[in-house]
Amino acid sequence: MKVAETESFADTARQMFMSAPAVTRAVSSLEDLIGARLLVRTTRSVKMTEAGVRYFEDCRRILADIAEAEAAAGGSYATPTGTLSITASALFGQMYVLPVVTDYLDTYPTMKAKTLFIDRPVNIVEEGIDVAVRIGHLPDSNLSAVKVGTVRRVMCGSPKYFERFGVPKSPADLKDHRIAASTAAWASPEWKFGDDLRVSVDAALQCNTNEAAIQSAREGWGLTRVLNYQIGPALVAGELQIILSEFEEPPLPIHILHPEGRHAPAKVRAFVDMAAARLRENRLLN
Amino acid sequence: MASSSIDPRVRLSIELALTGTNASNTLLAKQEEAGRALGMTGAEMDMARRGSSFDFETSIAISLALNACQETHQRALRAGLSEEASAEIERISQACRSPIMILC
Repeated sequence: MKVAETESFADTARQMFMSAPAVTRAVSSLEDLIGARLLVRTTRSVKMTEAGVRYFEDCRRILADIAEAEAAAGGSYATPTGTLSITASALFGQMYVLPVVTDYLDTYPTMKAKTLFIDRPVNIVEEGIDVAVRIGHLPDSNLSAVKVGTVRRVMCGSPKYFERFGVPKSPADLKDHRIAASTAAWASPEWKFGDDLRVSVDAALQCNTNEAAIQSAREGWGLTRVLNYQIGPALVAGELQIILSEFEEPPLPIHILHPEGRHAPAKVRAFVDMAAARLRENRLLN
Repeated sequence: MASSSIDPRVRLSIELALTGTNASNTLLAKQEEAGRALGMTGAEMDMARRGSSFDFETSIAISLALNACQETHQRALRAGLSEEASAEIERISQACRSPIMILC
């Protein structure tokens, strides 16, 4: 398992406190026992064969089942124990999930948590994530999903900008306005609106983070398009206002996801219950 | 019943702004239910009760309802509200402010 994960006999030997020849001998014995080649050694790395991939996946599932059985016997289905890893998109995680995580740690002082707040797709099974908060329509999967709110993709600008440059009346008018586009989650210059309306936007400012695009809009430099949760505090403060709402696409759902397993461990159930309650009572999301 | 020239969400936002938080619990609950049915979030309703809106056009309509005068009327027209919609907003405002509150 470790050789497959590290793709290196030397790294495995170091991590397992063994000699490299001992690791090689162990793998060879296993291959002799099974009667199939599991790993292909090259001068630079070690790759799994097709049989090796299958065997690795089966072993990982069996080990997870054993860990689950041990946890059940040890009572971790009753009391949250261990480390909880949570993923969400960068800004949503920071703004809405992190406060739940810190409350969770206060409530269960023996628990530890790891966050992965990042704007890229995360495979929660492969990356060992316990809970994910996802925005958007979900593909079919074996994960359990709890809906906790909705978000809208909105066009916005500051009152100062509207005073100075006017307000676009339709998406087609955006060509006459200064646009600060975030490329963090939407790199295409073609923006989609409701009723499948598509508008090519020539953004004068392309920002690699949502925060930068939002900041330029707050300062009255231009208009931007983001998810409404990202500008929640600025909307409440009146620093930004939404325009063209009648042209928006339908709202996107927010879900909490977790691998179901046979029984979700207490640490996952406790977090999902707490996060669902907290996010559902958030009036910016519901 | 004559059809309204105002979007139902804008109309409710105006009502929320005119009643503020002084309404009875029953009315507040009814307004909350009406807002949910129209797809408004709690924060949007809270903002309307404070006399503004997350939405640019709705905030202009609320300003007109809260302070109907030449300046707010002209501002509403400049923002794209029709004469008909502006007149209806002013009527709603007057109705809510009269001793017999027929709308709110």
